[in-house]
Amino acid sequence: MPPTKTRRIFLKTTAAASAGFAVPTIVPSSVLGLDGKVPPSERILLGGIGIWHRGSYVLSTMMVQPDVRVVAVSDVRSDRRLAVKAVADRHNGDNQCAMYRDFRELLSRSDIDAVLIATGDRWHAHAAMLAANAGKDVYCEKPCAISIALTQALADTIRRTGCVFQAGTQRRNISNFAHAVRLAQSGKLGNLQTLYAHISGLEDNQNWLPAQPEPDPEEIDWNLWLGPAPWRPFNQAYVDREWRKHYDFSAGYRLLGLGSHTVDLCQWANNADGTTPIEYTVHGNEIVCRYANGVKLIMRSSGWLGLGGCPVRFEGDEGWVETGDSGRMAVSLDSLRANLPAPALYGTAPEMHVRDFFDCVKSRAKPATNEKIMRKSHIACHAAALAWKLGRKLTLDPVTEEFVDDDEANRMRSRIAREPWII
Amino acid sequence: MHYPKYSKYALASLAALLLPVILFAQQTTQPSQDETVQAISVLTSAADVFDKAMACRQLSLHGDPRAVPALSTLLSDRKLGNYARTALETTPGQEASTALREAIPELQGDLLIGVLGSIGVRRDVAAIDAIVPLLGQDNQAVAEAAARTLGHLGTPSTADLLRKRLSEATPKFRPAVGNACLICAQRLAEQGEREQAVALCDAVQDSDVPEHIRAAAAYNAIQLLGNDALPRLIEALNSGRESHFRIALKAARDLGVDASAEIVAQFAKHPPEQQALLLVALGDIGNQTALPTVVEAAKNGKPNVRIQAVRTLAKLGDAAVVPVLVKAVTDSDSSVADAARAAIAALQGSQVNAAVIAMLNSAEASIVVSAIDITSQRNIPSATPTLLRLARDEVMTTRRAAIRALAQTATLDHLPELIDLTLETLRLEDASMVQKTLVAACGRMPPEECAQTLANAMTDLPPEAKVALLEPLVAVGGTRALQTVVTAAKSNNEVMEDAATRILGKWLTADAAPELLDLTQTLSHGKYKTRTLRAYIRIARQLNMTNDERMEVCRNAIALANRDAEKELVLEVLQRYPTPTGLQLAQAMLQDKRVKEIAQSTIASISSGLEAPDADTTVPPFARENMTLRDRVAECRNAVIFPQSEEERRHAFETLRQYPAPEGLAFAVTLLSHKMYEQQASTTIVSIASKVAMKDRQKSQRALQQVLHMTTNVKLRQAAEQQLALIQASDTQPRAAAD
Repeated sequence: MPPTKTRRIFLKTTAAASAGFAVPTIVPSSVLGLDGKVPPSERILLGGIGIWHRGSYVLSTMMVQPDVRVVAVSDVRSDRRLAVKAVADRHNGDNQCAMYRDFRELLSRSDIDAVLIATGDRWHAHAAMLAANAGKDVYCEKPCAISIALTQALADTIRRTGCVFQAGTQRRNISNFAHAVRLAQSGKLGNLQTLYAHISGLEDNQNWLPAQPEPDPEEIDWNLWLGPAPWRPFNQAYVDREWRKHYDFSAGYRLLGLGSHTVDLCQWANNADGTTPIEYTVHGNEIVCRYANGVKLIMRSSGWLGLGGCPVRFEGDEGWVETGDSGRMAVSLDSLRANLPAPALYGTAPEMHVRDFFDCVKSRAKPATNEKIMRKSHIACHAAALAWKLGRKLTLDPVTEEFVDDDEANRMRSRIAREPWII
Repeated sequence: MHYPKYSKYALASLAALLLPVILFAQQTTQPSQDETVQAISVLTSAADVFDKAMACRQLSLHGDPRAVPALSTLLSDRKLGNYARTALETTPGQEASTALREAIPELQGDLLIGVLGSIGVRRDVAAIDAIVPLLGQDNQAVAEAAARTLGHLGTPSTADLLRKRLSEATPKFRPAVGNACLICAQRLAEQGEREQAVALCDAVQDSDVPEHIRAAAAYNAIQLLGNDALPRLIEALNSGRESHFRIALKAARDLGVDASAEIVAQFAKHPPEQQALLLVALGDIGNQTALPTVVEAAKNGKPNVRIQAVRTLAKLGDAAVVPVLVKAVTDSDSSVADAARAAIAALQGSQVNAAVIAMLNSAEASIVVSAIDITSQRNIPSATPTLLRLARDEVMTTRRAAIRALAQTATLDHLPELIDLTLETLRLEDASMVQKTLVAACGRMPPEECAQTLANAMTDLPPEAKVALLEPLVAVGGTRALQTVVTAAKSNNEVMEDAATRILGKWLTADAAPELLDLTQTLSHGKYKTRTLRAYIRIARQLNMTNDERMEVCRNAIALANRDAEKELVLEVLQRYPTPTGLQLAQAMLQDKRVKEIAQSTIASISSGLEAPDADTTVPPFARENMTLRDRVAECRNAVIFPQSEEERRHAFETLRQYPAPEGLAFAVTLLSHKMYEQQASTTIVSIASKVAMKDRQKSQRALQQVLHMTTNVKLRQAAEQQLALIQASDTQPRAAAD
């Protein structure tokens, strides 16, 4: 017999959400319920975990979706919890948004359908796996995992639990990047030769800042802030954004900060979502990678045309295309100039990506940057970062995701996970 | 770029351990110890937590079974347990497994959970007997970790254990066991034990675990069975359980074409809200045999089903479905109409464009406006003449839609008419929109021809009109466009000069650099000179050029810059692209007091970022035999500032200590003010000062006093004071003797 209607059976989905480079359209409000309102029974109930800076920005774009209601927020800092709760309550028109210091309490709520995870890098994979095990769909800010082993564990967990997962690499859902990829994939640039991905400067800082007295856990829960990261003494600077500069708290010596976006786009352009480059070599300020199909992927931090942040460039033997966060595009061939899309969204804007996620929460389709895609692009980034760190050529088997004949590199595929955060 | 042989911890701890030797054994060469032995010595010493943590990290990369005893003793340490355990996880050999196993009865709570996790990582099946009793622990987190570890071990026996525990566990513990079963099933499947894996998933489905875990179990079973799972897929679709319907939607996409046939067969049985979701799945699967079902749903489905069916048509359909969609464009339900417009825009097929152009000539205004939007989305150049006509329509909605669409459809052939439209509307309310359209359209045209057409059109126009045609040139690019803008910049007309210098500030290619240099040197208006200078520097900062070209731009810009702001911009470029030439330029800017501080930090940054010159030998130049002391110090200086690797830099410092020389001491003193060199430089000074004192006592004393002034490292300060005392003593003793 057909299933009976329940709160989870949603009326509305967006076909474009799961389309390759089609940009999802916002669900027309008239379809969602009377007078453009979405009946409470059909809203996605959302919890926000780690909700400052990028987290609060992404949450704000989620909050305004007509079929989403933010019902809980969690952060180890009380000031952040209070600030974001106030925003959610104002939007919801009540004071019902719950606050949790420990996100496990949020995950234990059976009414919550999906979560945004926007903590620091150290927490992303662990929080996402705990959420998936609790039956939640997950929108996880990037980098989603700080090591190859954690990337694998996260992707495996998502597959095993059957939840919907979207990595917060929103550029796949932004038209200029999608168009550049389409040019590369369509053969209009000729045979693809070289892909260029922007990365920020790499850094390996394993030092500890001087110890300071730990604050009251109600104000800042240092133990929970550290989470799965290896133990070290408290220093306020870590909590105040300094953490990005420290190896233990960030991914791939910071390569994944932007690489998780740009390398992901290059993977897509090369039709390589199911694989990774096989060779990684450091040449001067560039990390040069090679795919099994001979295409080169060059990660670099300079040499761009000035088309905005997070630029990528795809070169074929007949032409090239370059684009960046401004939405503007540059192409080498007159024939390609004719069909360039107008700039739509700035590259950091998550609106379309967020909509894609919620549509997939309903339809159970795979979002644009699902766990399979995240897995390979993140592993490519991690492998490149390790080649930089080790200062030698690395060869990666894209199937086993292990380095060939390099014990040291293989041992660096995993990192410390502090107890009890063992998944 | 090179991985240091010893990480910073090692430097710190080795400095701590070897400092007395360095200081007082008078440069005896240390026998090289392998890294494992060094790290073990740190772990077994009274070193502080940081050093031990870093030693564990080192062992996690290079450790061998010799390190196991030292690491094992730390497993019960609240701060270091996680570091030690991770090192054991990667240590080859049975010794590490044994150590983790033997730690089980010794540990409790979180530390025990950590060890269980590491056993799971190592897949140590010999630990099963020790783990099983933990399933009954009162500490729920430990019991859950034990179940999870058994899952990760993934053997038939752990599968049996977990399956049995599913029915015996308390309700609170059961979800963890259910999740562990699914992990175990995954491990079994990886080993080719598909039937056992499916059986375990089925056991979870039949157990009293939360619904989402049962649904996940059903999903895993379908995935494991592949196309053999179609009956299960149908069962899930029709189960009446929301969670299973959802996993069926997900699994249908994995199974593909066969699943779409089943969905089509079952479609009519489902309520409308589920039909909408099934239509999404059919679109994702992409099997065109589903098309009749989708067309029927688009025509006669409930409103929500129709919307989704229209969207699915965009994926599955071709020109044959255009009539259905065109009819839907005028649907009274605006959501259906919106979906139809989007669907036509996305539809594949060469004949679709002709159908859209026909819509442009429709008598129904709503169809015309829809068609305008679609021509834009589909980039249909042959629609441009009609759009140019509609861009002058009296109805604002139609007119503006056409103006917007022209941005995407107009080609070079249409440029003269687009220019006419721009000039016609210069003072009208649509001017801004037309201007944007002209810029966007020109950006898509062949650059030289486009620029030439725009330049030709400017002849005899008033300045304001010329500016309107200058604006697109930055998007056009190329030689002709650049020359046209430069000519405007030199026109001595303020309106043109203002627009042209602004446009040059956004130029996308480095060929504008010589022109900007020339303009900076020749323009008379200060405001525009500054603007062109900043645009010139921007090219070096942002655009693709060789390092030589970039440094040339920086050199010229420094010479032309009168204001601190531009000088600081140049320093930023030098820092971003570290080169020896850049280092010299930054050093020259130290003379300028107002930017001295930024120049200093730029110099430090360049020094650390410079690539080493090619080395063609395994022996670095400073370590070669048969060279003068002075030459050796010079080579050390090079190696410290331009190292091949961190290791080479350390080696160079060690060589300076091995060959004490006044020049080496002086060099070390110059490095004291740079934070990155401070410790090595201080150590070097402390190490060689007493030897150099025999040649130049005052220089040695000053150097040691500098160390006391600069460093906060207690041990180094003590050592410096001791060396100062030694030198003073050696200063007084001979005199006393002479007296």
